Amino acid sequence: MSREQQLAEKPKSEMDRATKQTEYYQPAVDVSETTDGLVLRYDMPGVHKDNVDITVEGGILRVIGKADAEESGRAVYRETRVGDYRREFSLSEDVDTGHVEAEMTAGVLTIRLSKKEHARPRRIEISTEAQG
Amino acid sequence: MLLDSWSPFFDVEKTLGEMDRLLGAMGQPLGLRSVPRGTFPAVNVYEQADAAVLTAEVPGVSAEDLHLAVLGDSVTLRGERKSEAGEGERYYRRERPMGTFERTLTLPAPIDPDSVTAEYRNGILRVRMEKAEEAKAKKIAVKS
Repeated sequence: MSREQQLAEKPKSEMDRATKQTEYYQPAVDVSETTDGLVLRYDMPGVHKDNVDITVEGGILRVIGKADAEESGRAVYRETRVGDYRREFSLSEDVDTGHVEAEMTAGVLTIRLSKKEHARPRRIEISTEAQG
Repeated sequence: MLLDSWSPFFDVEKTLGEMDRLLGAMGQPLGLRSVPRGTFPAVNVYEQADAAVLTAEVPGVSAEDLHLAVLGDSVTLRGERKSEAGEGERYYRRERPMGTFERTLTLPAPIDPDSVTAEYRNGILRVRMEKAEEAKAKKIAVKS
């Protein structure tokens, strides 16, 4: 069986996965929660802030980053490959998509998402009786 | 609260991707920008006619925390990546390596230590090193 035939018989989903993988990298991401919202930090070295595309659509947060061109010369070591970054997260209903802040510093993209009012912890003041 | 929409089992996929690469199953580039775990930062070295260029992916590391040393044909990069997390942040997912790192690489040729220039931009450290005189390719004129 030829390689082409083998590939043709692979399930479509797996083919899609393989295709997606060759087009994009998944950047490493840290996700943390604060009292007011969520913080996502993406490692996207080589991406200038003008080449970052952030969209929120249908509850999906999508980040695409375009990396600079590769160095010239013969590669002696190569641990990275040329390509763009892409990663998607689906957001919970509790995230207020109207308030998204993003910042790109030294190849790290930081996205801050706010929680909707009802999802924030509420501070309850405890009144004390005046000491007699 | 937050799910990865197209790969809920990121680590599993990463491992499978790594296996694909090792076995050469697809014969195509690995989708994840990954090197074996613990290899941070990812480094590329390019050889040019008179120089070697090293690029290291060190996002989020400030230039003061990077230390570079060259000796003969070896180069050592040391540094520390500090967490940016503020107080009261609770992690759901941690994929980005943190802490100190050190890597030593052998270059394709001995280099001239006085010629080394390094710049840090967009999270990538780029080091250009001229080859030592004796290692440079010499053009020899052919007399007729």
